[in-house]
Amino acid sequence: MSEEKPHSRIDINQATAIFEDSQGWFKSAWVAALNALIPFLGPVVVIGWGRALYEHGLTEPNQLTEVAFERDLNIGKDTAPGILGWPAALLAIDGLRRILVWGTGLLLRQLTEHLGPDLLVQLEVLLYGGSRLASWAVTLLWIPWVLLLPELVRRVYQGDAFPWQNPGPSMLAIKMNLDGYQKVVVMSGIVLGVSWIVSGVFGWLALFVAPLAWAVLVHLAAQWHRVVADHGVPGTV
Amino acid sequence: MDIKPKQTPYASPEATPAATTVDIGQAFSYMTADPQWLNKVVIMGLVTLIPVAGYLVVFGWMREIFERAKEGRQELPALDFGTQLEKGIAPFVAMLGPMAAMMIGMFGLQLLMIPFALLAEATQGTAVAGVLGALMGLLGVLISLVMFVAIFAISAVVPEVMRRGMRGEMMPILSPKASIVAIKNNGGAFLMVLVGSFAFNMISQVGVMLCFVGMFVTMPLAMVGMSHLLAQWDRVAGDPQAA
Repeated sequence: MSEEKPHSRIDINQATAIFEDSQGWFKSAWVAALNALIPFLGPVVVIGWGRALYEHGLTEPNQLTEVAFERDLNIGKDTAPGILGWPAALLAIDGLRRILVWGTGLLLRQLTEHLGPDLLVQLEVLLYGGSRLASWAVTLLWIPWVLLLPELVRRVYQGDAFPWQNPGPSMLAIKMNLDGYQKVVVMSGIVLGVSWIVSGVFGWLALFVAPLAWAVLVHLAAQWHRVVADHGVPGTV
Repeated sequence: MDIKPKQTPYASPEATPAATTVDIGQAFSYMTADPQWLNKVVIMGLVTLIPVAGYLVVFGWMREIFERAKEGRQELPALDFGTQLEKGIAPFVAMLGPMAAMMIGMFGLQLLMIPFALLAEATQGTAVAGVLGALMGLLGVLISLVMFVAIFAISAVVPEVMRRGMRGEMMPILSPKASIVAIKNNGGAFLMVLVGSFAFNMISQVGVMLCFVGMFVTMPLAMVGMSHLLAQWDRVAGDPQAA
């Protein structure tokens, strides 16, 4: 078995070392968290900040740089659609479902006098049951995004703004480095899952945890790029 | 370290002397038979954290345990993300089948009520409305009863659906005859499977009481026992295709 080069290894310890080695990581994370609070623009800035972290991940792995609002907003404008497009679409579908259910429920209740209570109950059961089914379907649609996230981040930060349009290079990269990709998906998936759980349980803590999770995830994507680059996959910058 | 496949009577459903029984004790012993069980179980516990996709992988891992237990191998499979993700699709889809069927059935029954409700509204204040009201009340009770029985029945057949999913069948719900025959002919053994699955479900929940984090050990550990139990049940029930 050929020895893996140390720098082309997927290593969660290296990805979390940014919190041990870089000075003032706490401040950097808080600044990112505060920026994330800005409505609509916040996530864009954090995604832009991720690009700086990604570049550090490629060259100086143990740096957690601070958010530079203007720079990160500009980078984020180009990179956020490729990374957040899919989840944004899913959240929009789910939001639409909730609005439709809420609106229809309200309408049904207002029509109680005309419909009668019996019919109202039947229609409400249908409405909420259908809504639950739709919610399950949307949940399943998260699977491709979760599985492809590290590759998506890698390609977007490498300058390919919409990798969904051209999946060929990604398939090739994953196929040629399947072991490495499996590792990076497991680690990034766990990081993502932990941040979602913490956000779900402690609400407000999400503000702090989400940028930290994003920093680790981006670092893992940078490691994944080093693996891909080392194997000379065509199309790798 | 590689663990060589080892034939042990307690770990192998094939080696069980009586081919018509399911032994819950064997499934419990199997959970910790692999010297590296804790590592593997904790890793799978962490995998369950991966949003949505983690469950597919865990289903695939259970399927590998099921296959190994049938071969009499006591070592638990290590995480093999790609393979287990692929293997997990069949049991995952198989489990969705009964739930979807129940939801569709409920929709059908509710739709059945709508014409009566419309008629009752149109004939409000007449004697017909009274009759319709009574009829709807009766139908409502009937629907509740059907739903209660359906929920109970679906909970009861989950292990059988899971077994067939582990065999790679995605839609066992479309060919229920094989399952009905297997359960009918081996009622005692299936009852043991239900008792066992209840016990493993309890084990799975214990972790929640241990500051929630314990669940990442108890949940996959219970899955190991459950997979072995299903492997035993598979030996008793036999090949659904043959049935």
